[in-house]
Amino acid sequence: MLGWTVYISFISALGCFLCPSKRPDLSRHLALFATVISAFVALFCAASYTPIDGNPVVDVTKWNWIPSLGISYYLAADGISIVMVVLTGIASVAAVLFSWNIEDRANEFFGFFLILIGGVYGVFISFDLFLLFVFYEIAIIPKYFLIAIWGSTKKSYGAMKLVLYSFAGSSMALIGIMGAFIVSGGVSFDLNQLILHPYTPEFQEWAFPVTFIGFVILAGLWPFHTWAPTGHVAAPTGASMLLAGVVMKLGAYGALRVPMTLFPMGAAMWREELALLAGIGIVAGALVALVQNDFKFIIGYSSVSHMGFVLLGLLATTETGLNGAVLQMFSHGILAGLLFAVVGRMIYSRTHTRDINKLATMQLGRQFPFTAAVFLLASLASVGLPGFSGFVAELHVITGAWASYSYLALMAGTGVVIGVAYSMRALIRVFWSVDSDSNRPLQTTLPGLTIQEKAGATLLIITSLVVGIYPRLLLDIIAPSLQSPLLKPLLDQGNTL
Amino acid sequence: MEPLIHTTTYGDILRLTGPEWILVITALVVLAASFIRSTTSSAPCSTRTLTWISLAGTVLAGGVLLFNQPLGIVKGDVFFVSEGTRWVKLGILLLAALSLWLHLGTEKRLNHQGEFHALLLFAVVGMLLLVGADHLILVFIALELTALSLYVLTGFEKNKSISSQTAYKYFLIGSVSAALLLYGFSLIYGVSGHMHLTDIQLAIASKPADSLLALGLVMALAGFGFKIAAAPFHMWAPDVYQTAPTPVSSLIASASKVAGFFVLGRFLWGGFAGHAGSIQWTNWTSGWLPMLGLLACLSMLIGNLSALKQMNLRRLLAYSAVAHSGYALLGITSPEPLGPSSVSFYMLTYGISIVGMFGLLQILDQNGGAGDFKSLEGLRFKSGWMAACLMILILSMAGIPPMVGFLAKFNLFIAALKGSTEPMGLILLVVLALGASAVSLYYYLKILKTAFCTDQAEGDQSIQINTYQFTLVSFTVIGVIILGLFPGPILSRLTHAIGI
Repeated sequence: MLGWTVYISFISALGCFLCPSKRPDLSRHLALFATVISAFVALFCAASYTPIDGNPVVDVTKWNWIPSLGISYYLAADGISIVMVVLTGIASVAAVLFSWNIEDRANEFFGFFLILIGGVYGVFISFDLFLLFVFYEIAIIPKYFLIAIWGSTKKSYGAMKLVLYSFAGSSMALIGIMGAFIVSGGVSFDLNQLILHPYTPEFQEWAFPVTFIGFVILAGLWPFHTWAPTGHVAAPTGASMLLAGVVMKLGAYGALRVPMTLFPMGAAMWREELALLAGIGIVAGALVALVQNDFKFIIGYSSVSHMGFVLLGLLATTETGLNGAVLQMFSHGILAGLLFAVVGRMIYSRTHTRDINKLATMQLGRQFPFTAAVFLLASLASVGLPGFSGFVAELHVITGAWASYSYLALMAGTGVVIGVAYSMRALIRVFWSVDSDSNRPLQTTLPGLTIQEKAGATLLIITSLVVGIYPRLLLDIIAPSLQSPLLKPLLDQGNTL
Repeated sequence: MEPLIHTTTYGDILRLTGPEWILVITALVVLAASFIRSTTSSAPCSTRTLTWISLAGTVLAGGVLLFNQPLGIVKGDVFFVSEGTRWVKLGILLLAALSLWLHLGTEKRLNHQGEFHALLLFAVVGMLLLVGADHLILVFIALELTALSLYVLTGFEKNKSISSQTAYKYFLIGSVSAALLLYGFSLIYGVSGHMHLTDIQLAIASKPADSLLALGLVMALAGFGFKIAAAPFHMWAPDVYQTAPTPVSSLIASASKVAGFFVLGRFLWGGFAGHAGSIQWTNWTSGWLPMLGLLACLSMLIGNLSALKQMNLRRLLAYSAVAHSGYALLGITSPEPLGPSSVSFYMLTYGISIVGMFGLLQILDQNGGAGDFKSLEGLRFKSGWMAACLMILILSMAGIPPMVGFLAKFNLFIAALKGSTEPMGLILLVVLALGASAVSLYYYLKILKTAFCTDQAEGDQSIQINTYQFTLVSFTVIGVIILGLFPGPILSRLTHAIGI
């Protein structure tokens, strides 16, 4: 049933392309319908997910696709996939709601949008590595058009940079995938088969870093992160919500699913160097965010910083770290979407400027109390206020990293503190600067919030709150998957540290 | 399967070369028909009739190949028919038929249509002979039959000076390469004492590396490199693509490449497997593999880097074709059955997408475009169908799934990696190919950006598309998608057939 998330998205994408371009409302409603149905499918599958006979990997579909190359159309899910699929469902509904104002060529916009979403769903539930790669590539190209057609601020440059980085990264990942296939005898791309082959340490030593970096380029690992801020800034709101919300997660998920699963010894050889890069990313991203004046760049760099936590959690290679990484992926997916929604849609589309010094004069806090409250909650949640999802996630990551490399845990902690600083700076400048003194009358009136914006924001905040208050909702799904034969070798390596 | 024929009788030879004969007869019929018709009715009608006759001949040849083709060898190993050559020939006929279909859509009428069709069919006969040739002389004759026909076809618009100039350039470079090839063959004959690939293999297997043999191989490779437009022997390609009549460019870009690659693979592996050498990163020994690797590297780099700055779409496609030849050369490094089957699959699927691209270019030309990026501006608003087809074909060439271009390239890389004796031996070449693909994405996206991301121009007139063009492009687009989604049957059949 989980496969329907993919099919619904692709079929509706085709439907959107066929909608007349003069009727934006048709494609809009179709996109909303498709994403809501997919989200319900995802939630239903999450609710009914039970490991069979202690094996957390539950098969969905298996079909011999290209026998001569040992490729099967193999969809399956374990707890980590389930969590990511739920994230995709919620984030995509919100992103459609925040794209409600797209009028120009709306049918194409939602068509590309749904192809992207379908590709993302597909990556999360593919257990055949060729299939995973196919979906991974399918998710790359729509991003180009979403940004280059409907974007702003150097959109061609941002789009091309993003796509070339993604493509270069995926090529590196492909080398690792092909290597694993060839070295294991060239029989099958099925992950469950590939994992059985004992890869030599010499092979893992080069295959791991190539594949890992290939994937995490998309997750914004420092110093390969520069596509992220430019791409996010150039993208239209809905697309940057998806980019930061789920597409960056593709990279982290792929890194966990492919190189870390297949080459655990390689992971043990390289994790400290790579974890250091992740730690630098946390601090550097936060520091750069602290000095930006473009509101969207602040959020863009904060994404780099927060994705650093995901990577640090992964590279801690402890159970707590992995739990934290998956939680952080979920949490950041929700919160980054929310932050981009506030900046891109609730503010920029009304004020037509993102310069926080100019925004400071617009008395936004008084004009849009709802927006201000949403941004306050979202930034507090993402810097780790207890009660929200960010807190549990970052706590897990830092605890997990502490067990492996305590100095990096300290670095991450510093990153949290700087995170508070840049969030508060943006918050106060934009919404409650001195200029917006409550005694002065309102100088300009901007159009009010639409019902879709309120609904989308509420959806995301409630999700974050629910996970923050009761994280076991996700942890109970994730935890058994960490004990599976897929991840056991990795955790064994982690325990030897 | 029917029993193998091993024969010298004329009747059997005729049966073995059935498709070739049918095409030759069709060519003669077309020539004759052109004389009859030209006195009685107006030219355009008769041109289309000629094309229909040629198409019928091609389809008949394909039918014979598919349903009534005995397998066998002409005694003396001059020419043979196997399961593998049958499938490759079918692919060549399909691409030739598509190019003829493209000619149906042409609205610009040239004189001497009878000769045009006859030459086109002769070129196809040459390609078919090339696929089955097992004897150096036949290889040479078949190559020249193809090449001479194509030289004339390239210069067919003889009242345009640029056209004659290009044909002359093509001919000069081509004849030099033919001379090189022939000289190479003579050296190989001198060293081995044989003209048959299998005999050469046996004769030189016991001999140590010989500098005369090496010289012969280098020359032969240079000759073949010209035919498949591998760098640095690619200089003719951009001019020919740009100025030749569209159906001719499409034939050169698709079918002739399939034949060229197939015969190159068999020439090298069938005759000189013992002198292959090695280009594995841990173990480098001299032989023809390093030469092939060098050609592949140069083609990928020069092709892609030169394509980056092209402003004319046909020239851009020509340089990208050089790069595609570079990828395909990777597959040649792998022996049977993986190597030839992956290369054939790659060139066939690439051929389908490039024919579709030429179809789109023809439509643009007929609507007053100059064949540059400017003619693509606002295409999204002029014709949504064309823009969608352009996107699918371009993404297939760029190697983006689910279009078949990705799978074909992937299959090629797997063949190259599996083919070397040590797993992952050719990893460096594959890495280079992947890097080159990333570069190519830039110019492919530039095309799509021009078509999709430019604003609607003022006073835009819609684009006129005739039925032939519509069916041709739709067919290639659907083919590219269907083959990409369900490649299993064809891929395993091809691998199996070539493996026999």
